[in-house]
Amino acid sequence: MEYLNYSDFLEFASETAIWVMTISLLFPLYRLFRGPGLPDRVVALDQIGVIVLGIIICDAIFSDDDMLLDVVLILTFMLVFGSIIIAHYLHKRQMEQ
Amino acid sequence: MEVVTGILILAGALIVFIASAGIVRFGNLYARTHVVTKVSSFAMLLLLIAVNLHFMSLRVFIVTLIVFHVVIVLAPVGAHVIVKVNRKIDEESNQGS
Repeated sequence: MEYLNYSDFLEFASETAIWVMTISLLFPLYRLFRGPGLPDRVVALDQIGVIVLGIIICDAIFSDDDMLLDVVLILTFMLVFGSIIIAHYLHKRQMEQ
Repeated sequence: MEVVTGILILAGALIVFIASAGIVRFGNLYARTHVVTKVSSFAMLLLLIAVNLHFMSLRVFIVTLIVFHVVIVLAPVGAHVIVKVNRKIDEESNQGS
């Protein structure tokens, strides 16, 4: 158990959190591939974006870097507006039928 | 302070894992949207508080505040639009059959 020799608790906590969120990335991928309809896939993509945001935040604490928070800011805006725009496209396509 | 930050990170990762499990377990789009919107927003809140406790600077606080307000205000708007489109698709398929 040489690799579990962490210097402090915060390092252990952030690395464990990164591993837990990486494993939990599998569930929305399953829903993304096997979703019954297109809105289910949009919701699964939203959840994948939130998990990636969590991984970047834990990496910012793990590597003690301020600049990764700016990545979180830009990624949040792209995630939310992308979701709204896909929903608007679905609405327009459903109106044309 | 370090222990509190680590516990907040671990709690946030666990809540993200529970939300991701819910996106596979729930059989309805409306239940899945409920999971993605509320539980993930709560996990993001915990992770952002942990970041603020770790860095303790004004710049990180402002960036975090913007990210939190985008997550808490605009993500439910996108989920609401998706649910509205899905409800119209359901109504049309019920009328057709």
